[in-house]
Amino acid sequence: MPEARLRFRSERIAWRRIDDEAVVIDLRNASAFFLNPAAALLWELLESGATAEELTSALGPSDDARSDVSRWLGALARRELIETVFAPSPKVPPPSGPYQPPRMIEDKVFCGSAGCGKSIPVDFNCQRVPRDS
Amino acid sequence: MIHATFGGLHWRLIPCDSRAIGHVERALERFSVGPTAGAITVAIATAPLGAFGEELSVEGDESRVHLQRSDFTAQLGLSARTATIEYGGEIPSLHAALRVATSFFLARSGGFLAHAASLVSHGRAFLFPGPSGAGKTTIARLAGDRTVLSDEVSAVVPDGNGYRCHATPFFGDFEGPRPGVLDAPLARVCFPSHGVGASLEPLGILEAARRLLACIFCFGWIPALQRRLLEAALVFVRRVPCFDLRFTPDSSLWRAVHA
Repeated sequence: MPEARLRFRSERIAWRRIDDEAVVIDLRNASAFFLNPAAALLWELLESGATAEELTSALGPSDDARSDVSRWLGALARRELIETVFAPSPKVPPPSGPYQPPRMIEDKVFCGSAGCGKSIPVDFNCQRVPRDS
Repeated sequence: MIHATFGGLHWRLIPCDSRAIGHVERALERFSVGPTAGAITVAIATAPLGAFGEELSVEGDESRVHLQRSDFTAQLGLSARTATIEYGGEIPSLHAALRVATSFFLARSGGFLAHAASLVSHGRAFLFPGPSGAGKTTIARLAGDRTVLSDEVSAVVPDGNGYRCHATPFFGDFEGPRPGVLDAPLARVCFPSHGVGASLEPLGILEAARRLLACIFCFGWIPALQRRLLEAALVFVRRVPCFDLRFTPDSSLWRAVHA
């Protein structure tokens, strides 16, 4: 039966699995998040929607799992990457391997400065250049 | 009308006034070729626009893009392979418009434009992506008898199961590629940084993707094209060996690069 679950906002995200990790890009601001295997697992569950409890159980038994998941979801919520939706229960895979907290590294992607070209010093972070004579 | 090949793309440029003619000829003198089928047709004109500007506005979708800045405007027909560019009469503005246009056309075709130096050694290209200060210009200066494709902006285009690296007319202190050598099959990617001695360490897929994505040119918010670039980058780092390169500006650099 559908209940309130968290889901990532697919309209503003591009993401891909890279082996057992993942990269998520916030298309709005070119921020990228590089997810460790635990975070990548949870991220896949967030595609269709999952509760915090379901995410916690996916990581396996650990005294830290609940707080780690809560902290990670908070980071996603602050960046407006997740929303609350009504969705049916996801298929949560049984946990495997030792416990690993979900971690992600945030970085910027896509170089977006148009700069200028030939014969003029190029600084891709500088917005002002001398006029061509 | 001027036919040129740069950034892995064929162009048919139609300057619409005398000033634009002169600028286009100067900008692309090393890239002129004969007429080529399937070229992107670009009409270029000067217009009473502003001076070199700051904020670039991008609107559109996977097929059509409108660019607006104080010193140039452009309409790109990515599906139709056409474009119109108006710029404020100064060559840096024309360069900027062409660079942005190139990034969009490449994204549409599975390639990408990178903030990277690139050189050809023994018939193979080596790509050196990195932010300002990473060492791209230094590496280009240390090229010796190797051919420099670019010291700032290099194009990467899929070619069968591999990739080719292409020169572009967008460079910094470098004077431009040698006539006749404008592209080569891409052998490896080395992300440079200044260090002590020279070392080359292979990068994992995720770390290579992280570094490469930071160096790919992408303007504005057009999700379909951004997704294409992400896909292109991830396919790329799986196929092309990527390395962390620490170097000092001496000949040990090339022993490390070719290791």
